[in-house]
Amino acid sequence: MSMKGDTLLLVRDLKTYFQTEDGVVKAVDGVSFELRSGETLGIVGESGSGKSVTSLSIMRLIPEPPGKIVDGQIWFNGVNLLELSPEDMRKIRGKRIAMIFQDPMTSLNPFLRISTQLMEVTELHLGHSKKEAYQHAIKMLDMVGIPEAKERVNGYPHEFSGGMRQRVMIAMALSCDPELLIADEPTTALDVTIQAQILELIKDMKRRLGTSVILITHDLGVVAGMTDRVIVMYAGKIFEQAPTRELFKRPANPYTKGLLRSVPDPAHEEGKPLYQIPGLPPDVAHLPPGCPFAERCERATAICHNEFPPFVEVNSDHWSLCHFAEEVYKESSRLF
Amino acid sequence: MLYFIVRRLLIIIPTALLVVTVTWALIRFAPGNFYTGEKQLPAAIEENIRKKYGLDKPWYQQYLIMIGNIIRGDFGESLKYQGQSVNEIIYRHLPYSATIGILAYLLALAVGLTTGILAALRQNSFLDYTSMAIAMLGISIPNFVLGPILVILFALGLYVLPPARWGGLSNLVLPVVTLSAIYAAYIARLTRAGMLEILRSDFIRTARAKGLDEWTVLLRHALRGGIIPVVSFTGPALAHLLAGTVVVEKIFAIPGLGNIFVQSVLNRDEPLILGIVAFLSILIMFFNLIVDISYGFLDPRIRYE
Repeated sequence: MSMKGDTLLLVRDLKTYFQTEDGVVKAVDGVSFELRSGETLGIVGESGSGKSVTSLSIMRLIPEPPGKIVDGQIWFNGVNLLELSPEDMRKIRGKRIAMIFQDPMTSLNPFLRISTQLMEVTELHLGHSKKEAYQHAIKMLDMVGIPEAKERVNGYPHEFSGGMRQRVMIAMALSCDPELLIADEPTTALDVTIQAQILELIKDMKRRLGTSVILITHDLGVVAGMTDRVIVMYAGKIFEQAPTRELFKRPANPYTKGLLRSVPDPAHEEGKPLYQIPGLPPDVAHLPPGCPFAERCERATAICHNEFPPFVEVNSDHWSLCHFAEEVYKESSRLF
Repeated sequence: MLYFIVRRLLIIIPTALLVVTVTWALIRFAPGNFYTGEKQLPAAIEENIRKKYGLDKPWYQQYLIMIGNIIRGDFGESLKYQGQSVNEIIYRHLPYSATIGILAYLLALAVGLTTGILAALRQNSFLDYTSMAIAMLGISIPNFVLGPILVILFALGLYVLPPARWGGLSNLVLPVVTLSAIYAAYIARLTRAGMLEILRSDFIRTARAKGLDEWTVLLRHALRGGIIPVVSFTGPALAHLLAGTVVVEKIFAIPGLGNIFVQSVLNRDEPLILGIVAFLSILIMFFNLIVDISYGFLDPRIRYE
């Protein structure tokens, strides 16, 4: 078991590619990051930026074919997950690394009772007997705030609302007290009021169980309220990586700045149209040689179109993938 | 649930009577009669025959008598096989068809499900392509072609199996294989398609994320949903198989119900035709009901009102 503050997960140069009719899609292309024990790491980005593929790669749940982790290392507590046999990987999945998914309406098996779906996890990983597993299932449902857990445990998923199903998913994921919880857009499919409840629940569970969390989202508000550090992904690459406060105060990447400007601000934007980053995310099957964001970037120059940008450390633990990282960082700093 | 089953069972009766009515009308609309032959019968004899079988009465009276008897469960005597009741004839020939039918059904299920599941698990592999190609052949080759081919190969060529007739277990092999081929092929394709769809769903990813091994994922999480299309197909299929298939019974000279059915049509043996038609329709509706009930066990979202 790792101590708080130790490195729990270390991803090195992860490359996950998909073979499509359109060519090789480099969904994740050279991603490296670190997660410390007890920390919550946010991964933000638009659809197709590679954030979900990153998390599925950690779980080794990339559908193969067409996908394949072609290179890199994923060190979890000193073990490279990519070198584990499928059997050994299964012992980690659901037990030490658990995952909750975007759409609770489809992520639970509609054909099986909630009890069955919860019990099978602890029977498998904790060696529970049927009886123990059943009691544990009720305890977990109770813990995530499902009323009348004793009765509801025998129900089927279609008898639960979306928010309640996501609670069930969280109960299922936390059944074996995992060291790492990966939440892949856990609130995207839910109503706004339910979103807040689910996020509060994740926060609360994290506090009680000391679980480290990777929170994948495209909602910057969620990132601000939940995470210690943030990774901004674009076109399969990490564009910026920083402690959450620092990222919001002093973004060192034009893309992050664009994202932050796109957040509606009720105090300032009266009468003005909401800012949006021009253009569309690039086709990751046919990336240009230079910076993938150059086409949409306000300050792009010739070098941006021709040369791939460097990953620059602008401050301690604050990195940015940009030819002008230092300048952008200084500009942001001046504002405050 | 009970109410649903009782209601569906009750609906079978009027539906079967409707089927009988339509069949009766079709027989009557067709020109000719069961006693018409190449020679014109003398008028006196014809009149006697008509009187004996009640054909001299107006058509609606004849219909009411016929339906009345059937409601009482009495299909009357065969016109061709004198002195034998229709019920007796069905009872005597059904076991042949049912034996071959049930065996063919079990074989088709075993072969079809295994092939379909394996093909789905190894999608786009050599195994997948070959098994689906064979399944396509199985669907495309009619059994009146497959049967003789098997006979030529195994009976006349290799001398390992008897070519025809009812007898020991070895006599069953060729007809059962011939009969099950097309069903096995259909079931394999339906299973593959059903499993592929289910295996792509989010909850399968969840199951894998829990660390479950592939067999548990497959058997506990995927199979139930994956075989629903197979279930809808195999219910009526079983009814057809039980009731006999004309072609296979003809090829292998098996005295089953299918053979008798065709004979009865050629003989214009009205009571026998109506009897078999009623029996078949009830059988098919009954198995459809079983299919509908089993949906409820497979998918908890389905409710019976």
